[in-house]
Amino acid sequence: MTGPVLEARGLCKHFTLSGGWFARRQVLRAVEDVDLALHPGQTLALVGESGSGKSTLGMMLLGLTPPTAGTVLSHGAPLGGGRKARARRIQVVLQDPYSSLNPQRRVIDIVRLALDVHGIGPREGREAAASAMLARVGLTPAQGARYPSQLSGGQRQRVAIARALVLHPEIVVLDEPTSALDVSVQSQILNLLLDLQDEFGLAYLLITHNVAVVQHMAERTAVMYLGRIVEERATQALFANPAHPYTKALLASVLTPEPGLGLPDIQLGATPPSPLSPPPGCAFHPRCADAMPVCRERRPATHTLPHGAAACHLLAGPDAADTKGLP
Amino acid sequence: MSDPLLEVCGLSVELSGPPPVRPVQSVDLVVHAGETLCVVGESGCGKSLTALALMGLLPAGMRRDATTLRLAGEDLLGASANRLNDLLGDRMAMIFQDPMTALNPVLTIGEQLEEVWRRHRPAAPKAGRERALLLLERVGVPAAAARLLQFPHQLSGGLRQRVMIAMALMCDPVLLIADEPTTALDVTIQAQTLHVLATLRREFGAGMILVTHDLGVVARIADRVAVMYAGQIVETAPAAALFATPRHPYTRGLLGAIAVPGRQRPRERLSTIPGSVPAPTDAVRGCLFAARCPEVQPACTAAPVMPRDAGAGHFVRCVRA
Repeated sequence: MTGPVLEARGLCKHFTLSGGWFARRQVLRAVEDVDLALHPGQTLALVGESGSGKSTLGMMLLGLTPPTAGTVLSHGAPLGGGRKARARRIQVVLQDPYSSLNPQRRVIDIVRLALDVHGIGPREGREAAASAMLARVGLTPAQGARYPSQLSGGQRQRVAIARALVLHPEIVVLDEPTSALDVSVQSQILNLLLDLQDEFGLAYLLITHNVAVVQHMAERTAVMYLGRIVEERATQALFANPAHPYTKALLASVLTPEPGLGLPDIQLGATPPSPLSPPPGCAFHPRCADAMPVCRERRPATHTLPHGAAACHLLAGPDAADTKGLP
Repeated sequence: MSDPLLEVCGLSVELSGPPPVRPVQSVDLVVHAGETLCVVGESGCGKSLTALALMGLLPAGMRRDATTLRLAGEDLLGASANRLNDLLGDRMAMIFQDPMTALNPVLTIGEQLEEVWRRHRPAAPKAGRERALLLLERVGVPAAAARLLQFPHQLSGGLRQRVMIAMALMCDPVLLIADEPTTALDVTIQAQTLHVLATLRREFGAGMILVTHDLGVVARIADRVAVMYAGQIVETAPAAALFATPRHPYTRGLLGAIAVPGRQRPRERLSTIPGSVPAPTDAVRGCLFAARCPEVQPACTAAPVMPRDAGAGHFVRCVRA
């Protein structure tokens, strides 16, 4: 193994917000000290509530927003060389195929533009390369000649996938790739993404709040809460035996289509805290049913678990025994 | 069985043409007191328009048509506009999807809750504030008294949706219509909000129609389910029966297409429904799903397919049922 195809070390992103004329400037710590590793050909899922920093983390890995601190590595070497060089290796598929495609360009031109910008292949061959990629994602030449507004949501998402893959990147960041789509179309897109991953050996960073999709697609899962990763483990182990109380609540909140189970009674309080003023100690403690005095004072250390790690004071105490015999 | 709380027959919505388009076609629905009916379908299937048509809140340019529309025995089709305005917010109330746009940004939470009360209970204006406070506490809004004085932008999405629930319950309605009430919320907040909604609905003894695209939500909250496709209800059944033995090929396709933890192996390819929904402008002669149906036969496209009684409260719009 050549090591992770993409690795984040101590990655931070702070935004300074001006509060208007009379208010103090505030610092929003969107991503705080994140370590992550994505291995070749694998899928790493990033889950968490809105505002947990998962999309900001994705933008930093893509090179679209510079980190406040920390580094991004690929195969052990810092990933530099500017945005364009990075784009050759890391592409993105965004959530909303209605706003992520230029409405004034034909589909084939949208896909071809990536080849033009990067000057890949002879000019005459680019149309054919774009066309071949469109065919690979299931679009006909006739659909390639249309404008995005003439396609359905699922077809547009196929265009976005073709645009990302035409450069043959190593890594694709999938930011909520199916959230805007209908159920019957979601499964088509998920199947396509799985097929393309096998065919091109792609590594996916899957950013989503859809936990069922995570379990289906990802080898590893990282759970974010208020800018930090609170648990990162092999997906199967995480789902079988979540260690962090937030992960437990998140998994318990998933409404699987099983009638008779009724609605879970999640004891998390009605309001998540503001990322502008995260609680001291463990940021999750105000919502945590198992919070101890230490949780209010000190940030928990990261504890190694079977197939991963989690940051929680409960794992340090005598209760940590329950998590020893995990799969 | 007792008389239904809400009885709807032949409900259609027509968008004046040319050519006229009918995004909702001859919908029949029944809701009993204390029952939750989920209307489920994909975007564009007409489920939200059905909800709006029931409330008489269709956007301009759309017309409602029905043969029967009765709430607790009262005929709503023949009712005057004044009478309907009296009923809305009082006997029947609606919870909308997006609590940011459904709440008035320039009025405090308390003013908006009390407004409902003043409109429908003008004789006892003072009681409105107490009722608002009580309901905010019941829906689990912390520091309810202080929240009454706040504006919508000062509340999180989950809290705003709880305010919407409290507002709908102000006058103790017999029927609640909730259109995608938790779609805009995070999963943890969604589960909590639905729990509040289901608990209060039970306590208040109201009937509820919940419109959603999320089969997980349907499974956990519905007593009965109506599945809509391209403007028609294609299957109605008790929730347990719908998930255990779906009878319409579209319902089977939908249920098969979702990733369910534990049902598929990781990375196993999910089943799909090929093709796409016909546009409301397409002239389809028979079953609207025929073009995508894996079990299509000549009878499907010969004539319009009517709902058939498959027994035990299960109705299916399919020639094979």
